[in-house]
Amino acid sequence: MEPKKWTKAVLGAATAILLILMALNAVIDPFVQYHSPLPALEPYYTFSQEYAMYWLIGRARHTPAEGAVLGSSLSNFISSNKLSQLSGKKIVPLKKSMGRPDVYTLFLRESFKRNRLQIVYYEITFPHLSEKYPEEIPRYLYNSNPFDDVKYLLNKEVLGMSTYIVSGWASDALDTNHKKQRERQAWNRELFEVDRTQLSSHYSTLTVARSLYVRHNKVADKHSVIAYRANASEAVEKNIIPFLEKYPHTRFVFIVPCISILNTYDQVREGTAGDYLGIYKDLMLRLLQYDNAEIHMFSDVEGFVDNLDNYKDRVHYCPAGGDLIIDGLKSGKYRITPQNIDQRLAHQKALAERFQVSFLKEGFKGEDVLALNRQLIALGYDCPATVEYDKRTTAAVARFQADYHLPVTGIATADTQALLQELSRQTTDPHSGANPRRSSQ
Amino acid sequence: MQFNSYIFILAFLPFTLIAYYQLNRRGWNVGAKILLLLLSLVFCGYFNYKYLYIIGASILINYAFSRLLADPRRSVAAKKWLLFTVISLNLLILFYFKYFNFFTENVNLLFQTSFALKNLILPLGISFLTFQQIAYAVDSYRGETAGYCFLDYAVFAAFFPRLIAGPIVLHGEIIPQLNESRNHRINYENFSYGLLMFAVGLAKKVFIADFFAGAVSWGYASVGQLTSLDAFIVMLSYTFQIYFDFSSYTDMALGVGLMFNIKLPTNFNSPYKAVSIQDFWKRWHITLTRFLTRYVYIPLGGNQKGRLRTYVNIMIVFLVSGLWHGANWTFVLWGFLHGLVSVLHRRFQTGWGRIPTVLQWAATFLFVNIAWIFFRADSIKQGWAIINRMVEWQAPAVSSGLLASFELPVITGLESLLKIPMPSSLDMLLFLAFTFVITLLFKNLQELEFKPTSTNAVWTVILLVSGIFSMSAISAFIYQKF
Repeated sequence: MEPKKWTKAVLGAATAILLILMALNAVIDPFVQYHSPLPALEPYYTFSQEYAMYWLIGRARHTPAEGAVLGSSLSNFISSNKLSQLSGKKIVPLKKSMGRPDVYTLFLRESFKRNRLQIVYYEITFPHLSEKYPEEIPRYLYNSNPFDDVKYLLNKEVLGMSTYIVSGWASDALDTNHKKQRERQAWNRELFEVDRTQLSSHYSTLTVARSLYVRHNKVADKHSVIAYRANASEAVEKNIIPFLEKYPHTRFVFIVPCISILNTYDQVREGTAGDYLGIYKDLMLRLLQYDNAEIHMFSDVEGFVDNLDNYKDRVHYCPAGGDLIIDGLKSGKYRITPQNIDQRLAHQKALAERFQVSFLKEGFKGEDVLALNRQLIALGYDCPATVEYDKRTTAAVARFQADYHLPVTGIATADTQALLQELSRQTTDPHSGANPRRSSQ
Repeated sequence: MQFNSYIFILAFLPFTLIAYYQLNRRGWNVGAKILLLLLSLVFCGYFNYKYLYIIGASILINYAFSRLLADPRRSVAAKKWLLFTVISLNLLILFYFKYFNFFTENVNLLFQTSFALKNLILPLGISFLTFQQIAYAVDSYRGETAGYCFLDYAVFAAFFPRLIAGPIVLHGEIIPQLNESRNHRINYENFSYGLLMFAVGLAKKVFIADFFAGAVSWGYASVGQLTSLDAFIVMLSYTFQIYFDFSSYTDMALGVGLMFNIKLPTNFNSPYKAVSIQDFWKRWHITLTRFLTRYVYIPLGGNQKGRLRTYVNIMIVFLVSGLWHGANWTFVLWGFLHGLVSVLHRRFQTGWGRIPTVLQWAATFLFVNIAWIFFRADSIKQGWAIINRMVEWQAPAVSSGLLASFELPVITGLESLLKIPMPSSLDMLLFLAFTFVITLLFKNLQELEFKPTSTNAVWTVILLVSGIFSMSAISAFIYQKF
């Protein structure tokens, strides 16, 4: 082949293919950057959490709505459908796992560009308020520089999604069995707002115990209190207040979700609960300076937040928590006002002070661990008589649980502790001299 | 600006080419060279505009000195002083930006002092530029740079395809080509070959080097938990990563150079086919070896001053090479190892020749691999830790983290399509085998004679398009629980 012809053929073909593929990505637009899904193809769009940062911006930009709900995986069960019923407005869910105020700002800004939002539900999780979104944000999708669009249009992942959508549509179009098609549509319409897996998670004290690694000890860390105040205030001033000021006719409903009491419990043990609750108070009063803001706080709901069976870790609550919040928003029972704020926060602190963690596990330290180790030793198990729950304690507890036909977890659950207590009382009692090791055989 | 970026491939390169040839076509060769110089500065300044001050100053100073050096009326003694000054100046600039912190840290460590470290930015390509300009100064001293004008010199120094990572070129390789009037018109023979080299380089970078990068960064981030086999695979991965990364850059540089009708010197010649350490350095980073031989080894006396001096000279060359690569003791150790083995090779050359070639190759490859460990390690201690892992010789097992970084979408796709479970190490084995085969059994681009055919046209298009589409892989968000 002649070099000139070769060069022209190669450059021409490469340019043509690039343009065709770019056009495909622009038309299918799998992450809805430019337009809503084409009606015929809509059922084939899948919005997985993996790419949420890419399509959420598109959802904010292209969904007509009268209201929005912004949150993290802690808003998983605050259904936008129920909020729509409650408010009588069409609410669009804009939730991102690991969501933080800086990302909510991106979403809210995009949504306001298109919509005149009348109501905004906004999750405020105090322990996370001082943090920024930890993952990379694809900034080129959030700016208006058209040259950056190249990164979207010439992207193999985007191309992969486009191909997937088109091939799904094509295979259904060739297939006369419309049932499958309808099923697929139904599946996609079902709303899972952040994390589908949370629906089938197991919620219990044991699950929480497994997810915890440390229990805070009685060392106050004033530096982190100061840093928290600075960062949380900055988040509020930078990411929330501007919206309150710019949109005085939009109602902002701040939701403090029903995370477990463990966080406040740790602060009580550190001796910083008063400091932190004081900061929460200041931040809430700051928001309440605006007439269009209201706050509903669920982090002190007695009977829910102090029952770890409602959780799978420190913060993720079971579906019933979502109902609690929706009902609370309806009745206004948990609304914070400048009048009741002191009493509510005092209540949260009192709950935490009264709270007892029912289990002990590896990494914990304290007098209660020492007592546990002593009981185990008294029953003939091998572990150190220290205040630390280490690997050997875990092994001893596991052996004890196996011997007495308890679920073997290595975690000293309430049941395990009760049985240990009873047995060690018997061994110290000279009249019942049974050797527990033998009794289990 | 990176070669593997949209702005370079879709905007900068086409614009520069078109403007360059259009200006030349109108007979404004000076204008075309000015354009090339300005756009080379844009290319460099795109990373960080502050680089421009340093590079600009360096080019000006060097040109001024080279004019003084090239003046035949000056006495030899005066020229020697001038040469000494300009080399010192170049090294001083390099030292300041590259080694100041390293030096300060070690002084602080040694004398328990606490001099403050500086927050310096290392100007891109300064190491390459420094060597290139030193070479030019020496050539001027020798009276070989026949009165180039400033523009020629500046284009030679700043020519963007080789600005950030070589090859380290000599004036005679660039400036005459630049001024050859034949080269002012587009030459499709060069252009088509350049296009192919660029496509191959891009594919090597995106599909091979970046792929190994995942395994390597996983390995070096989790040294503590590597199994013996993990450590071995991580070592191999880095060996391939560094080769494919660097040689892909060079391929792209050479390709772009050819598009401008400028043939840059070859930098690689299948280095992992080397059967001795000397052979390796004739195949790896050839222009660096050439520089060090010509401007360090031979001026030191080369092999003309007795056996011991030869060994010392070899050692000096490799220590310089080590330190040139970066300001860290790991690089010094790497240079030392290569120096030591080179000395040993020279001492026992005849004995080495009697070993079967396969063993020669294996020993050389293994040594090169081990030396790369220190090259990549953050500290000598970390390098040792990896070697320790390997020699522990545990039962063969590969961590799932390592396997995950080798996952090939094609295999995963096939698996889900055919619903046949495949061994999880399949991806890794296939990929390593593929890499071994193409590095060891195939001829390299320089050895193959390029002829435009429809087959390689199709391949070029495929590599180009798939390379471009893979440049901005959306880094998948690992779904973390809140």
